[in-house]
Amino acid sequence: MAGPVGAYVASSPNYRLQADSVNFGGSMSSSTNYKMEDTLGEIGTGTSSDAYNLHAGYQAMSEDVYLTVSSPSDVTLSPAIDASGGGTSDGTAVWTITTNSPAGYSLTLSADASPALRSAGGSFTDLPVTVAGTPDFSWSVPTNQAYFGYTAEGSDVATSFLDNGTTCGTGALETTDRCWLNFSTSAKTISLRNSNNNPSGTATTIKLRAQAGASSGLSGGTYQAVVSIIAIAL
Amino acid sequence: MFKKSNYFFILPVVLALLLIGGFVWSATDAVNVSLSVTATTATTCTDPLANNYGGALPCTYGGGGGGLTCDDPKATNYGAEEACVYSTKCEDRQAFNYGEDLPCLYRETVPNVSNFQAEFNINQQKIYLTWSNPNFEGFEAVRIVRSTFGIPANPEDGAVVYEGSAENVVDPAVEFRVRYYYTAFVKNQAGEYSSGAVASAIGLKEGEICPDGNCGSDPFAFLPGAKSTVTISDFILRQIGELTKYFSAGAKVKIQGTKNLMIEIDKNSLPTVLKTIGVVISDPKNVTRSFSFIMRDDGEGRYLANLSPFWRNGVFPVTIYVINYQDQTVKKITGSLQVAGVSFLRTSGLIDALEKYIDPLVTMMGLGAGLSQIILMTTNVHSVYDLYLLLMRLIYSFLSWLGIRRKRPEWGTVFDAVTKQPIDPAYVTVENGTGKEVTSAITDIDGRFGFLLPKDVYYIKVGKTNYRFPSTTLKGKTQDELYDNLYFGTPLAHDGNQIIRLNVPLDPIGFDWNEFAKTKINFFQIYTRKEATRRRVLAGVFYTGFALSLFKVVVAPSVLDFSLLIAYVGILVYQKVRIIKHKIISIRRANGEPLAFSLVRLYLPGIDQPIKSASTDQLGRLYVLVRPGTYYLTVEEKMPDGSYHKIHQSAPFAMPKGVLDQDIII
Repeated sequence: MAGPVGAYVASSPNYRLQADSVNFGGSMSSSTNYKMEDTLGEIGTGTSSDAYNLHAGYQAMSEDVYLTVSSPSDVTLSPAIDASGGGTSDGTAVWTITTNSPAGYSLTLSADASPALRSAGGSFTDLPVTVAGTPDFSWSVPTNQAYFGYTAEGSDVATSFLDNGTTCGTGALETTDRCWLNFSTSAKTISLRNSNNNPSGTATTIKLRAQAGASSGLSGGTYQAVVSIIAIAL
Repeated sequence: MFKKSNYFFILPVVLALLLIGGFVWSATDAVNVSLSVTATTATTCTDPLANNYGGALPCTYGGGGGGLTCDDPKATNYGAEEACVYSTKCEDRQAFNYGEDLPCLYRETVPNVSNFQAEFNINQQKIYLTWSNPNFEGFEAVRIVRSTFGIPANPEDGAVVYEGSAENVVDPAVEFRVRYYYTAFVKNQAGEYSSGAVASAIGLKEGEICPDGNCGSDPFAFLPGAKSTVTISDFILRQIGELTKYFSAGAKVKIQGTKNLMIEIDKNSLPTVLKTIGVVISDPKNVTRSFSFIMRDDGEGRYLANLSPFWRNGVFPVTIYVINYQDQTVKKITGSLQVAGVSFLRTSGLIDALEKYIDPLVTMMGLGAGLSQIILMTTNVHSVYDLYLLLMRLIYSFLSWLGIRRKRPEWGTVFDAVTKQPIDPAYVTVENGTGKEVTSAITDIDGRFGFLLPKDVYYIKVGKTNYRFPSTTLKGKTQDELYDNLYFGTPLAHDGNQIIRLNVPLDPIGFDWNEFAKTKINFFQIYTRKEATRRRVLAGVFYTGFALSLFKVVVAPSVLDFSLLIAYVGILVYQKVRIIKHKIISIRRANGEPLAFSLVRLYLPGIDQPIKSASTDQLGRLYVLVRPGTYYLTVEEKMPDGSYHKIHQSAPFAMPKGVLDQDIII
């Protein structure tokens, strides 16, 4: 008896049964020289190598659920910022998520430290936003401050990064270079999809921005941050 | 042929897991983000508000319309539509280098006494003078000068009635119907004087009226008013940290009552024939009571006076007398000072009471508590006699340090015949055969003594309060458990070739070992209670002193108070460290009973010779210091008959620091 198509049939916090089958009947037969065990119904069979998976036999599942993530190169924000004069520096990182999971995937983002962008001699303040967790539509930095933040863009981007032309978290627009949020050590969902997107996958672009005001008092040096993502098949 | 087994078709329903592994459900990734920030000096103006934004540095402002306004009152261009510009000159009029290069420098004028009063006592026919000294570092003395001709304007302008640091004095040499003017000048350690506080009094008999018409305390009131019109500029009132105020006729000026008040006026604004300026501040609660002082020519073009802080808040009427030199007339300027900021503690006199009465108490408590803690921590003081011993020990240690006491390579020991504890100090004298004292010595902290004498026959006598010599307890013995070569006052034939080295037992008077042995458990309970009480009392003294010191620091701090507080904290820290580092070990039974006056011997394993022997005290406590190494020890209990009985031998154990650091439980 096969499970429902297109979804898993049971799950626990650690495991998920993508499909199941119930066998019944069958027994051990024997003679003087031979023994045989037969069944009514049949167990699934399969094998795999580095390149291929073989699914055959009675009630074999058609395909594994998988999720792949592209890994972008490290990001160097540019141009360099002059500590005494201030400036803006940008960079991007693109993650393409591909999954055949019928329930889609989620993509979360976090920084490994707070403030995220720091050096031995100082740090950029994580971008203050008006409402915690909700991006600000515009990016602005006072002359005596230095901020670091990001925005997410892509067709699967979470609703908090969508806008209505003036405000983020509402509307369906995906206005370029809007909806800026601070990095946090807590995971923030930046993309969410409720269907499979294989084989092409969906790209999510993270735009990172650091800006120092003219009198931010920033000290010179190399500032670094580590940004992590977690993609989960749903 | 295959033969089917009979359980065909009756297999249970089986759940077959087709595929549960090998899937990728989640994935993680991380990227490093880096940014280079250069610290090069900007060469262009990056301030968008500047006129030359994007141009060469420096940024320039102004010209209106820029939206930038200097809002710093300290700036020379305060209110201008440009960046603030600051002066490099001292802008504080209270500074004596006003208008000159920074930093501002302030003149330290000597403050006057406050509340200077003169009162004639008709019964004693004396004038009583009272005042309050100013509180400032460098205070030296107050000089009070008297005159009957007018107000003494300087410390030499009259007869000196008093000079010292008291706050009252009696002028006995006064006559009736003569007005006496007194000026109190405060002198600092540099020999500088204050401008002077003024008081006057006149002796009148019953029913007499004031001959000058001035029966109040205002010393200037008798002077006639000026006939000519004199125009005088404002007096300047300065207080450190406050805005400069100006006082003129009819003015009501608010001042901070907790700070010294400098009254000042430019000489150029006064008549050239001016003699002096007197200021009278009246008590708003008692109009007949006032405090007066004069302003002094500082030789630099100003008249000034420095007043100590006020005692309470309120509106104080002020009269300034500008006295004409030629015709002794005055121009009066009246107004008032609105004094604010004086706390209730100051108003109520509590702080002064603290300073006068509690201060010495706190100091004494602090010193007493500190001493008690030192005694507690460094000694086993249980009685006044122990204190005496401690004092003697300190004296002898000091004498040793000075080299007065000789150091001896070998010695005898004076010890307690019962407890085996060395006795310190004991007085040891040596007499020859005729009874003449040849020499003497005092035992050191370990009860040791020694003599280097020529060949003769000698008698040694040992004196010690509460001890008896010679000992009868050990009489007849040549040695006991710890000491050999015992001496009991017999003639000593000395050959002169070596140091006299004898061990002298003394019997404690009033200490019955048998009784002690019978009741020692109760004794320990009492002793422990007594010890606890002693420690509680000393701790109580300490913490009371600590609390008082802390209170004093908070309410009316001084250098001494801070020093005492630091000392208290230091003692507390030392106590904690000492408790950790210097645990006093004891020997006791499993039931907790201490083994009093027991002998403890340390042996080297394999040699089995005692390296060190010592006896415990009444509480079973012990201190042993040997070379670091491995030892075993024996404990010999002192029996009721005075003998010792071995009750314990330990296994070899390491003493890495050479001291016993663990209690020994038998």
